[in-house]
Amino acid sequence: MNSEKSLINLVKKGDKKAYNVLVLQYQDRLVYSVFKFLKDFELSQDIAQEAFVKAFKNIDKFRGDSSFYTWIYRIAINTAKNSLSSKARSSEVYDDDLMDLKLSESAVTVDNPENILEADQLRTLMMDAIQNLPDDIRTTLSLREFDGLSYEEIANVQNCPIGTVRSRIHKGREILDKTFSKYNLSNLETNLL
Amino acid sequence: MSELFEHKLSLLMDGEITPFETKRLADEMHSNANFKSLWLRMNKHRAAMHGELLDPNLDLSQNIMSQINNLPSSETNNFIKWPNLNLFSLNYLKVCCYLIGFFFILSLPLLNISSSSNQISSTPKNFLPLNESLLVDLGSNFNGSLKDYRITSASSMEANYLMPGNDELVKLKVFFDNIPEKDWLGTINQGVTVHTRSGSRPLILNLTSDNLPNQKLIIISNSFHNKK
Repeated sequence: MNSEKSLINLVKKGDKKAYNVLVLQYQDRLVYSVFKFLKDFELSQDIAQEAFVKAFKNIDKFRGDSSFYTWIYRIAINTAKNSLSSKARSSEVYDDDLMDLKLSESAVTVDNPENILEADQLRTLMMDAIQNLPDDIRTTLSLREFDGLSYEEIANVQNCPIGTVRSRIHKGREILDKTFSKYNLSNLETNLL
Repeated sequence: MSELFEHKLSLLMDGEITPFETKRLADEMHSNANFKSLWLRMNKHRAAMHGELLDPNLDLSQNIMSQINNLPSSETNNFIKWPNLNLFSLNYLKVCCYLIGFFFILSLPLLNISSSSNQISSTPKNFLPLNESLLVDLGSNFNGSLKDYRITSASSMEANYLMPGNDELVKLKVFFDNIPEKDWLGTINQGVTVHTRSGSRPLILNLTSDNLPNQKLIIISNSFHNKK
């Protein structure tokens, strides 16, 4: 089963609701990737937003050779490069190699705004929450989230039914959601509702 | 919010759900804000776990979907729709339809001929009981007992009759009204031939016998005229 492929097929048929699912799924990750490149949080949001719209307009060109995220990531980075090039935002001379070097950096090193501090706190909070999960749930969730194993693979590794894997992962996420919800998400909830 | 849907969202995150359920979840998320909110949070958990969350309150989806909804139709007409055709293709399709229609009309007479010939060829089988009864009926004119018969073509039959009281055999060839004259004349070279009717249906009958003289055959043939 490949839910992402199903969503893409729906989008190709003009289903905007399916596309919204993808936007909600990948927006944070995409903004983060663009931010690593641009070091400008506001602009990163604009670029990510533009990339999502461009991707929607060109969804028929997505052949599914790569994941949707890889595809939209390329769109976003090209958009970011064009943006940097046209606006000449910094005094640096535009250099494609330099851009790619920046892309490969894994850590956010400059321009730490308040929200990034908040994000760091949240990450610490999440990691603590994962550590406090019951052993079986923590191991199962980690195999999924950090090792990228499928449910079937996890079932084989842990020698348990696939239904147990599903339940443990769901339970783990439920606990994490409670932790996450205790954190300040009131603005987010208000916006959505 | 139902536990079942929460569970399915977890499966959706990991790509472990069927296409049908995926569609259902997308629809549900569109109509249920709580459901959408949970999906957003679950993905933020994941982003946070991987150190990819910059702003816990970030949500671009409304702006993005608003932009997408306001796109001119020309920019969204690349989706797979039926018919996914440009103007040239549509014109091409129209010409094809006209040509198909034109050739279909031209072929109608041929279809009719074919249909008619099918009916003729199927007549002997379809009307076999009727023809057999016709032969029995014809035999009753001269008290002949139908011994055997065969269908020789779509419009003709042959039958052998036993005359009462002896083993004399009378052969009767029956031609239906629609057989061309040259066809039935070509198969007759002896005996007595008469034109008669079965109800409103014209028949041509040819009587022959190895034993009976022609005079006797003439008497028999008169029985058909008398009946008419």
